[in-house]
Amino acid sequence: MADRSQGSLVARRILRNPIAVAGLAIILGYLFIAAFAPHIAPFDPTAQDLSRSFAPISAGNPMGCDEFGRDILSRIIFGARTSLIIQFFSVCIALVIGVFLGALGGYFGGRLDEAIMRVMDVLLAFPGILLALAIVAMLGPDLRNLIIAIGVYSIPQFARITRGSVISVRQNDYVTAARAIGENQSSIILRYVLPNAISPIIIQTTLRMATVLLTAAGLGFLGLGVQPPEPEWGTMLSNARMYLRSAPMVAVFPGLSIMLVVLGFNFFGDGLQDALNPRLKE
Amino acid sequence: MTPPLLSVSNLTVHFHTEAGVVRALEDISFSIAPGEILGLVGETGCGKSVTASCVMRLIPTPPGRIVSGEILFDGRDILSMSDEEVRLMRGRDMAMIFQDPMSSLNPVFTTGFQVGEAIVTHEPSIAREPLRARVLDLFRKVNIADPETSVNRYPHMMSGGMKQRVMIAMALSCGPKLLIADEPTTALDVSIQAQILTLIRRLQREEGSSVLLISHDLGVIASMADRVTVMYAGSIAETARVRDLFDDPQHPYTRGLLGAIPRLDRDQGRLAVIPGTLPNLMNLPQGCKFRERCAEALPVCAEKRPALAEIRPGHEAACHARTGR
Amino acid sequence: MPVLDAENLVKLYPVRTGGLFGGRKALLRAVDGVTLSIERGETLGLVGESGSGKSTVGMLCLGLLEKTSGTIRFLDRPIEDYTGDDARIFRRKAQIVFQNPFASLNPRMIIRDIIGRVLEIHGLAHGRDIGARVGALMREVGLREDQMTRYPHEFSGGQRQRIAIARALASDPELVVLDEPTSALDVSVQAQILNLLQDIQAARGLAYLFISHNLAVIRHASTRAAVMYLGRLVETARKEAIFARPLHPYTQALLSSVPKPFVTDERMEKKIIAGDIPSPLTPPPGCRFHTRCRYSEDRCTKEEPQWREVEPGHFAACHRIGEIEESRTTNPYPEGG
Repeated sequence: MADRSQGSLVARRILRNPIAVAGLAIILGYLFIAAFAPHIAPFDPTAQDLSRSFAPISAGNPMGCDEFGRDILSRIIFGARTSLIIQFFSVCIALVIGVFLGALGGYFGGRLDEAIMRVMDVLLAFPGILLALAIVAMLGPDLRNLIIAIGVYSIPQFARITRGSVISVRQNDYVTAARAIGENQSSIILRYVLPNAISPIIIQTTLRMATVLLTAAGLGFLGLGVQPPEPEWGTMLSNARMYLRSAPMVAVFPGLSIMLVVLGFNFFGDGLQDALNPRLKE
Repeated sequence: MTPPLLSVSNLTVHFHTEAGVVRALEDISFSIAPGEILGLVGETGCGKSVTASCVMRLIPTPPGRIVSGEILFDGRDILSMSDEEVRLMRGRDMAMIFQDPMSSLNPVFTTGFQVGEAIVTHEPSIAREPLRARVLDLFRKVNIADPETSVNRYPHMMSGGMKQRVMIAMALSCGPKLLIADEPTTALDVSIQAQILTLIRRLQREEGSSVLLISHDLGVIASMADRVTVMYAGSIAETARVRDLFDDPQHPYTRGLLGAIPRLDRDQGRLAVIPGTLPNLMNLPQGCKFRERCAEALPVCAEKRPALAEIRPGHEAACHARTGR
Repeated sequence: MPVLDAENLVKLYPVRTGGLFGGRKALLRAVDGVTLSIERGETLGLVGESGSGKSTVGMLCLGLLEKTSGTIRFLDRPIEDYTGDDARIFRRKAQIVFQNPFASLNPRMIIRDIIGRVLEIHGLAHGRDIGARVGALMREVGLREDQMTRYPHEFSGGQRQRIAIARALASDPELVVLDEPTSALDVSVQAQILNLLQDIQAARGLAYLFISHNLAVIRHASTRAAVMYLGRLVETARKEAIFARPLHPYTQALLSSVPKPFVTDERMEKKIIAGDIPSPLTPPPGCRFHTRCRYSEDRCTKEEPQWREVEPGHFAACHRIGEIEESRTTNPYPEGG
């Protein structure tokens, strides 16, 4: 959507920001690992070998083994894939529904806006994780329901950001000009308003990727996420907690992975924000 | 001859941006005598506001960089002053009023308080009552109706014209020798503009201060200034006494500008047009910056940048076609 | 038959005034009984200061704002009658150019699409023809055809205004509302745009509603001029009449307040209008200008002056026309306060 020179300008600004580049590197590494998990992982992440239960770090198992003797590195690598699936689909749900509702309310205003925003307020009034928890508890814990739960609880953020951005874009003369040349409402929203309201939504999407990962891990930790033996970082952390004293390393690696990826998205999101909204005049 | 109050010589300023080096000012020289109004006129990007910021030393460095030049104010070199000296000088010796009175005032304090603060900055020991009297006096001086009530008003309760009066009161609070007015009436309506211009002129006469009046509006300049400097693309095109400039402009750019204004006093079938567009300040052409738009360009104009030269006493222009012969 | 004929236009805005809590509701009378008409090939200049409602009139005439009351006839049909498929016709035949060319072009569209959308929407060109038609329009406004794949930010203010004009022309309109089309531009660029608008009008026989706060621009660009003050018309006449012999004290004072681009021995002090422009929320009773008028008398504070034809084609609303003309040369204005 961004045009050539503006797009390349944003790219140049990001590349000049070392923190954003670090974030980008982490994200790219994460995507690579998730995409090629079967080729990278040394072992089957679900293969148990009780004789190697809590095996220490070694050349064969760079991160050691867990209580069932599964290779932790392989589980982390496949866990990346699970996390990415959760992130991608839940953010997609929130993005599509949130942007739709926010754009509708922001553009038309009045009663419709009022109604949409009050529903969003109700959703926001629940502590996020509790809402997701309630949804998962209702639908039953599995990957699909986890995605739905996290997606639904992220809708209000997207709706609000979109609404605010749409309201400010709507005031521009080019929107009035679009009415004057006879564009219809949906065309005005899709061609004139949304493309110009998109930058805060992009930033929000990136930052949300981090929050969503944390929520997924939290729900996994509470046993409401992906069910074992499927590898997922939050669930791994949850299992490891029982052996925290005897085998701390089992908890450290999933924890570090979560932290690293969350940081990556936050770094990149902040860099993106600076690049898209530079205070400096050209 | 009295020495000038302000003299700027050979000032060159660059801005370093993401896209490249912007040559905002190039070899600018002008001066203002005590009690004189100098009009600085030019179009967007000509450097008139940057010039004012340099005089007040308000140029952010970086991205700005003063490459060379000297600004002497009352015998002191502004560019080599310490930050503390500059701070003391601003407001007391020279003050500035801006284009937008709406955003120059702080919305959370009363206007009277803000004018008082301007005084306290330079006279920290002033007592409450004399301060109040001074503020009321200033409000009266700038013709704000009902000063006793007005000092307690917040900026949003005032019209644009009234806010500009408050800004002028603030600028005059310490009796500056030089007042810099950067497009002081551009945001105002015609009828209010006339009031503010008259006010500035009356106060300037009463206080005997000098004024650097920056405007894009040749009408404002003609009715206010004693002398005029025309800027184009970061250089001075012409400087002259106001009557000489409007009656007998020398630089082709000044002539073009005067021909391009729609007039109230006569019919014009078509407006005279200056062809082309402003050169890019990041990539200036060789020779005269106006050459590509100039009907009188000579071969030498493509090679050498013309320097300001005297054409008749007090009338200078930077144009090979004028000075070459 | 006039292209546009507006009668007794009124636009009221409900607004809240006062503090954070429980402000009072009031009606802002943005436009309060404006009557005007524009013939083909004619430019009506609409001039006024802030709060005069001149831009609102433009938006009302295009149906971009809903009027509160009054009638607007476009090509002899009330604009309400343009519904369904006819709504397209109205949109096609009445166009607008805005003041700020940096805000009036969608930054995410290339020029071909900005202009080409008009052709698409109204079915005026299809497929490849669109590019050719856009190219022709760009040439008409003095741009190069090969610039059509660029984005607005790659153009200067003057070039952008040319693009906005090309967009307005794309649907082959009968009326173009020019809302301060040169106010954001430098003097030299303004001259180029004014000349361009003049050429286009001559070639296409358009009617212009030219809105501006700049009296000199209005004088240059219009055939007739209308002066507004606080939502009302105070004077309308052919350009020659209104600028040479203004009848209304507001028009007179406004004209003498403009700083002229030449040096005279006249002192501006003598000619200025005192006082602030009153808020359109609480317009003065009687004649709205009476608070600032030096000819104001008791009657002006109570009775609204009638809109009347003082001379053929020269309308004004002032109680004292006739009485004041003789005294026009004397009686300087006091300095404003």
